[in-house]
Amino acid sequence: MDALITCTVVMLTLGLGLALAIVIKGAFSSYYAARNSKEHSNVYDMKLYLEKKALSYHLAAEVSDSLVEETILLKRKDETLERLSGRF
Amino acid sequence: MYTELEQHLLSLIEHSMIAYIVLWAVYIIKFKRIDSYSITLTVFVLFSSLMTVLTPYIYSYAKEGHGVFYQAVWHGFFIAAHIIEIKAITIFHDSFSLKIKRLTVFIVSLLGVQAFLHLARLFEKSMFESSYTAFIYTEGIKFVNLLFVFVCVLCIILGVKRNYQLDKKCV
Repeated sequence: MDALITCTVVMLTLGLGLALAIVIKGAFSSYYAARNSKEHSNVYDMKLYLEKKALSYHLAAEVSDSLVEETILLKRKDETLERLSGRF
Repeated sequence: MYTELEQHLLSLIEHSMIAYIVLWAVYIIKFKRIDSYSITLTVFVLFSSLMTVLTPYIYSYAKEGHGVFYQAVWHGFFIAAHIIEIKAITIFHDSFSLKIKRLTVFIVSLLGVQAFLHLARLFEKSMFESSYTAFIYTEGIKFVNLLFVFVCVLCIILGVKRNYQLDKKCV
């Protein structure tokens, strides 16, 4: 019985070791793949995502995603410029 | 069981944990951005809290009986937790299409080192029933835990700095 438990534990150790190696390799390959990728960004803007959702809802999804994004960014730029001009 | 310095360090780590949770919440609520640092910190803090809560129960269970099985439960719990933690960090980065930062890779490596120390100790206990790696295991885990405190603080500083720089830009 003891031998069986020991054998199971050794198998479990090897299995966990293999799983650990796979997971670490996955993390490193993801790091190298995303480093020069244009599809991956440094920041995920939640505010932009929420505004995009709200605007798409109002426009009944007849406009493309990129146009919605551009509109939001322009709107933000206007607001920032307004805020900045108030200081002068 | 612990020396005075170790107890102070442990209480420092507990306080740091609370500080991480507060800073993490501020980070998410104030900046409303998700980046590599925030994902890493979130996963790390959640898993650290989970392990802090569960460790006493696992420890008392492992101490109840003598044998390889009880040792396997103790070490297996930590190895499994570290594996899931590393996987969660990778999956969250992929799901938000985010680039993995170097500091995140460093944290993943440290988690890997901790899991490897547990693996080596469990392997030695089950195969040879000796305690040659006991010292390396104990000191190694403590050293990596201490290193985590500094790495996480660095993570927060870099993340906040980066977000302020982004806020300064017009858009």
